[in-house]
Amino acid sequence: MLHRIVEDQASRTPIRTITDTQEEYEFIETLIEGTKPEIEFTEHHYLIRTQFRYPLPVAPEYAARFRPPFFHRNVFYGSFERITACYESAFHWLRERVHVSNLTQTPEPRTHFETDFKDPYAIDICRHKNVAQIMNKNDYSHSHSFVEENQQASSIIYPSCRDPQHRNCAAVFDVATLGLQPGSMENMFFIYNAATKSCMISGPSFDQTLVIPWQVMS
Amino acid sequence: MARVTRKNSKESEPIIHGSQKARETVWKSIARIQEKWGFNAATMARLLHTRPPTFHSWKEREEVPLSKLPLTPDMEVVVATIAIYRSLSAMFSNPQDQVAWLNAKHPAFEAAPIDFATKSSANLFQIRSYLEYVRGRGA
Repeated sequence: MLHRIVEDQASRTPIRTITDTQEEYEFIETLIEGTKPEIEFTEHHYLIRTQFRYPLPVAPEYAARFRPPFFHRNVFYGSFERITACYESAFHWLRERVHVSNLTQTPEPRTHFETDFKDPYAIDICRHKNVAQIMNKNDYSHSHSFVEENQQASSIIYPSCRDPQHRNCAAVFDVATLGLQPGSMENMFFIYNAATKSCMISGPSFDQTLVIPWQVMS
Repeated sequence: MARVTRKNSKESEPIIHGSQKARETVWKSIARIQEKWGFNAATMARLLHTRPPTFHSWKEREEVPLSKLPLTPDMEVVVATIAIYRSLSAMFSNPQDQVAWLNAKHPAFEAAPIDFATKSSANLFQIRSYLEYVRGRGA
């Protein structure tokens, strides 16, 4: 089972705030969707298949740890534990905030979901001799080399460099290894603390607020 | 099985691309974005890569010149601007935070996104793609 946190699915309708009727909303949504790449894997739920729709090959600015520039495959990232998904998501969430001054402390709703993952051919790099370099927090050159040397991998299991306990994550290249539908979903809130450059995560199933400082992540 | 219809059948009709209603709907979206972001007409015209008199004429007529598909280059810019609004709204619930993000110097662009986007339509498309990418990662 993999965990992932995405933007709020209950109110995922920003276009409703600039339209008045369902017909206007649908027209604008269709107009925007019509200028995006087609989704290739229609049998999977939107939350799962959408990660496989980025235009390929990716330019350097859209490279990621396991998606080198000019690589020919998209990737779905998931974590084996919810708390690791919180750290991984908080990194990308904070990265779009720490350079901005005057942000409010508006709670931002987010959705956590689970999905099945089964891949007997996954490459596990947790004990790889170069795992420290591959998982460098800022330098992706080693991970890009690794992907280029293993271009046919269906998925890679790796230790999170954002989670202080380095619990496992998976980079999934083959959507067939994922469930067709997401499992349980829950709502949570991310709040930005500008003074400490931290992400505070809370939700109905959290015993206490999880505080993730940017300093720990970056 | 009885077919469910709405009381006002006119409202339930899908909006046809290239129709008057389509042109008005797109203008309404742009006008609402301008209002939410508190941009003046000059800034909005720069963001849309159109001349201020053209933007003014859209406002006067309350419609944009959206023709049938494929989109013309100027309408591609309009759609990209709405897509940027959609992404920023998904990332930041508060419009004040959306504007703060647009006005802050961003490491990826080495400029404030609003300044980067108004330099060229290619830059605007880049901001759109960037936001859709980072949203996918959890931003």
